[in-house]
Amino acid sequence: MLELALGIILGGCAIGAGLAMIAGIGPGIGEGNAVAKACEAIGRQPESKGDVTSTMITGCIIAETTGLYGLVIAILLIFVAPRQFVNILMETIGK
Amino acid sequence: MRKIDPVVRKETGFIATFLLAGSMLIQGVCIVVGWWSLPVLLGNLLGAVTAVGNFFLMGLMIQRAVLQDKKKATNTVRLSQGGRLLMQGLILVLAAALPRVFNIYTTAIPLLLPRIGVMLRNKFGPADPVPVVTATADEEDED
Repeated sequence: MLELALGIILGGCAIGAGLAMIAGIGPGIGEGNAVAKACEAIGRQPESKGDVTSTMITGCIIAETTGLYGLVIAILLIFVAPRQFVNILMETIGK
Repeated sequence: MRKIDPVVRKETGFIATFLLAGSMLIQGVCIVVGWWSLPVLLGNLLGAVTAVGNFFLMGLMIQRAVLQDKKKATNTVRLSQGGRLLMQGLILVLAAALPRVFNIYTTAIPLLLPRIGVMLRNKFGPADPVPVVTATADEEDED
């Protein structure tokens, strides 16, 4: 029974980490589209390059952090959470 | 070597300053709460340096991508984003694998600070002058 509980904990953490990493797909696609539009804008108005680049950097860092949230959660789920959950399980069984 | 755009330099400077302030705040909170230890400081340093490096690399990538054609720029950005995400993932794995050297939480928090910095600047910072669009001679003639 204990093995089953441990398996469920580890499996759940691994599945959760995988699901969290889905968030890493979106920012890449979004940033790619944003830069493509920025290229168009600079092509039309080359004098606005500085403004467009500045806005792009701001937008990209906001978009990218979304993927980073997923990455941080995935890393915590793989490296930190199982130990904590197993400790909770052991304390519960000990009672 | 390619010249660094002044916009990239300015934005990286802002993010580095904000991260320095944020890191000092994290260290202050850890000291007050009594959680401070060497891994907390080292983890914070690792996270802050990674966040600034990531931002600088992103700025360089955008500087290069905006001068390319649309399709090439899109591919450049996607490749760069994947590479930088992988780099940050490896840094976090390193911090998780060496808990006696780096604290995982203080390594992860600085990676999320640039977004907060940009959001705070957009909300409370000085408004950028909006470019004035003037009517062209043709449009004036139509009127």
